[in-house]
Amino acid sequence: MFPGINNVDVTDELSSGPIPKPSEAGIVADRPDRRRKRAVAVLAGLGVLLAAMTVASVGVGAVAVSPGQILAMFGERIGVWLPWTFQPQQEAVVTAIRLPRVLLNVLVGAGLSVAGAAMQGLFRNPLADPGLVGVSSGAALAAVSVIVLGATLLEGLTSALGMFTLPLAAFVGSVVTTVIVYRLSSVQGRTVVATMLLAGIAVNALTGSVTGLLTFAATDEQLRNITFWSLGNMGAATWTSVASVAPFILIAVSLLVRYARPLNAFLLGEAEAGHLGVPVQRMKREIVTLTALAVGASVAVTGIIGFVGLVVPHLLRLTVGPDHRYLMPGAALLGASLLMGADLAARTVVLPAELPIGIVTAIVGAPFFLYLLLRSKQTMNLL
Amino acid sequence: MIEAEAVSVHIGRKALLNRVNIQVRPGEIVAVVGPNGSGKTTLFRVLCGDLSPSTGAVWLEGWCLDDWASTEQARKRGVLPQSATLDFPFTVLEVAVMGRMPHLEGSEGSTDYAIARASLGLAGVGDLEDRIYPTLSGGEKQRVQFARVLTQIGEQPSDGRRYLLLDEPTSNLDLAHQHRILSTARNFALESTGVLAVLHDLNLAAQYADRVLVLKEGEELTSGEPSEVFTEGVIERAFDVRVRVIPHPTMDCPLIVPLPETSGKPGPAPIVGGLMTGIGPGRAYGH
Repeated sequence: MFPGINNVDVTDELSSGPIPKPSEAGIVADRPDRRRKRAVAVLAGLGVLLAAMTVASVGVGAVAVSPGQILAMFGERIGVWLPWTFQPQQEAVVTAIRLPRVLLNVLVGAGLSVAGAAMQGLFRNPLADPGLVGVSSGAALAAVSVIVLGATLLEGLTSALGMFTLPLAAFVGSVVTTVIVYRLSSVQGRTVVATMLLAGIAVNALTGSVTGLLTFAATDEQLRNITFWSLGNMGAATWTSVASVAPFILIAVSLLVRYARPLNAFLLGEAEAGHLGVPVQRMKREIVTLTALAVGASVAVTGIIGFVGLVVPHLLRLTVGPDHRYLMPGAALLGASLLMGADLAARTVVLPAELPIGIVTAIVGAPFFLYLLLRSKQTMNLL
Repeated sequence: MIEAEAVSVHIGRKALLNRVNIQVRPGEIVAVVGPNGSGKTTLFRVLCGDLSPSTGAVWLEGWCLDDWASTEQARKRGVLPQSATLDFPFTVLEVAVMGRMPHLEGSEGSTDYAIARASLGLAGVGDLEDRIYPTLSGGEKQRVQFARVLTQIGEQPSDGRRYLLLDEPTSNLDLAHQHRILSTARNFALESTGVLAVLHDLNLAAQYADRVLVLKEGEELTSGEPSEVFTEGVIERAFDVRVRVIPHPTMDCPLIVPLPETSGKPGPAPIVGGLMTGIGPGRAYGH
């Protein structure tokens, strides 16, 4: 089957490659099977973390609910009696406020993180972020336009769509900018990834300046609204908002996860991935679309929440390695847990007020990201 | 058979490649040589489908490349481009086993790892399988990529024919590993693999190739067996350097020895240098 195994006509002295030195600590990795087992263990651990964070998020707040009581509430719904009692008020808080908020956190956290992992793979750059291709800035421009011009220029739109105007506009804005960036970077049907980055920067600057112009023209009340929205907030979580983003994010995440193997090949280079049989053009198109879908839907409901899509995949690469087959599901689990944690902090640290969640993710995320950068400088750019 | 018929590539008005023909049949090694900028890599990219020719066509087993599904191409043909940049911390074995991708639906099994390990051994990097790829030296990376491509075509396809396209596979390698890579390619050729290699070192081409295509300024200067092609006249026309071609002391192929440019008297030093580094201009300007 394999030529040359038994009849290599090169003598043995030629074959001895450099022997890895034990002193190069951290450069020799675990064997692949051990690496795989560890990745599976990490994924299982992340599942447990997600469950724990869910219980904490549902339980902690002005009306406290114990884990037992949470179980009893679910038990009652499915007709199983459990030995914990709870007040009707507690149940009302859980079903009307906490649960939709937890679900929104899970959906948005998973969506942003998986989109981040996919973008980093697509750009073969661990610093890439969905924001690079204009997803967030487009949403911001559309949302700020609705806030500032909603009562005047866009009155017809706002009166027709009512409360859905802002999220719909943000979603459309993110998809439109992404399509523009993608078109700008396509030459004769091929997308040049480096051009895509540059086009993204230019489009981001342009939308940013228009957003700035609108902000400049805004009234004080509108300004407050803009600030609140551009820092992200989970306060709008209702069953309606959950239901409106769930299909987008679930479809995007489940399809993006299926690209794990081709994304691995993509890290070798675009041409190399093509020679391994990956339909490169179709894959680029679909990943950009799905990312815009996931991030656009998230931004539309919760505003801009930074650093999740950047930090979560990084954090996972440190533990499960660069293989997207573990990275993508891991990013979904960890992103959901981290966003729940950030939201828990946002709504408990300055009671009775509530911090915008984007501030929490940035305050924790940015220093952590710097730490990762410094660390990667020391370990020869292994991130 | 991989066949290019009268392929031309124009960028603006400039012709990078002008009506070049080439055939690579299973069982033979075809070397493409020529000075820098002569269109070697352009031809390579046309042959592996990365670049569509402006005119002319490329066939794989008699079918136009566009008519092949990318996975089907990948099962028959491994392509090693000049430089592969991988900055993510995969292990060497993980990189090699990626070559199995076109053959798999699900995850890799023990067979796939066995093929990948055998390929790493053939490329002389078997003892590096647990190392993290970005920490390797340039030559080690090049050999790991070679092993990945061997893994890709390591299993004989049902019709027996497979192809290996190598763009300067020896550019970062020491003398021993240059010969190891090309001996491995030769062993694959013995098992009905068609090998195309873009080479800088004329003596490597002379030793390992069955046929040689010499390009100059995007056009075919000449082609044929090494002993026909590598004459003093052809090499001086192609590379603009004076050489002496002598019989190889132990093998049945020509040995090309560059002569000093300034004086007509060859000294002993350039002969040694020529043996070790190949032809002057090709090396002097790097890649």
